[in-house]
Amino acid sequence: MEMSAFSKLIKPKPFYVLESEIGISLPWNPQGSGERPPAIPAIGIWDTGATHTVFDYSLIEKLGLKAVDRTSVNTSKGRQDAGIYVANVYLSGNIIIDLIRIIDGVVLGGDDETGKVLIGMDIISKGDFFLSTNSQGQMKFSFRIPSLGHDFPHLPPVSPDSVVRFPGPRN
Amino acid sequence: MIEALLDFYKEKQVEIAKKHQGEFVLIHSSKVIGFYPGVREAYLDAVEERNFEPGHFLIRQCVLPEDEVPLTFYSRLG
Repeated sequence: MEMSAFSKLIKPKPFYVLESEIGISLPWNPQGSGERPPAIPAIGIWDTGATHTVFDYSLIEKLGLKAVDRTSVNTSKGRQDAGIYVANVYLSGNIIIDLIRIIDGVVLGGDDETGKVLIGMDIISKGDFFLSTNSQGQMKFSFRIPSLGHDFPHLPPVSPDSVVRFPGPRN
Repeated sequence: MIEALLDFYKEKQVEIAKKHQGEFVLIHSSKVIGFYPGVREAYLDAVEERNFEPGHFLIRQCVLPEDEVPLTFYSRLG
């Protein structure tokens, strides 16, 4: 699999939100012979606290997605029912996440009228996800797929002695 | 439509899950069509091979009722 990747600088507005422009479409198999459906633009919010990728209800409606299943989800507001769909997600760097399970819901955040997508750990875990700040106070995040492994330059290897050590006696 | 397919699945859930734990089942017109390793394989079989219309089939991971867990979102989902 050929590596694809992108990086983006994020400025706080006033807080850091990991957003990137993405495209979404009806499910489409790039290896198949079917015609590629048109993608619509959306704002992707990268969220390591989400186990799955979520499309806002408005985007489900705009695409005309039909549910393939239903499920229960735990959110900060309690447990609720949600639909499960299959769709494609297009990221910068020509990254295509095809035929992935999507959950519907109300995606919070953002300051414009473009529909929102929570990019959850089901997508993030397909590759390597980097986050760092620079001296101008901007945050840079990068994503590449497939993963090239756990060993990044300038970072210590995973150690069994990774327990937090507290400076004083604990009560 | 999806509710009727879910009712059918729930009637067969224990029987199906005991034999196909973790696999994905495709159900259409109150019939079990097949079992697949992932959603992708099930969806492609439904739409590309069998020409099932989206919205008229169910794809569900087979787990016993006591093993079902809700999906979890710690932030940003209202």
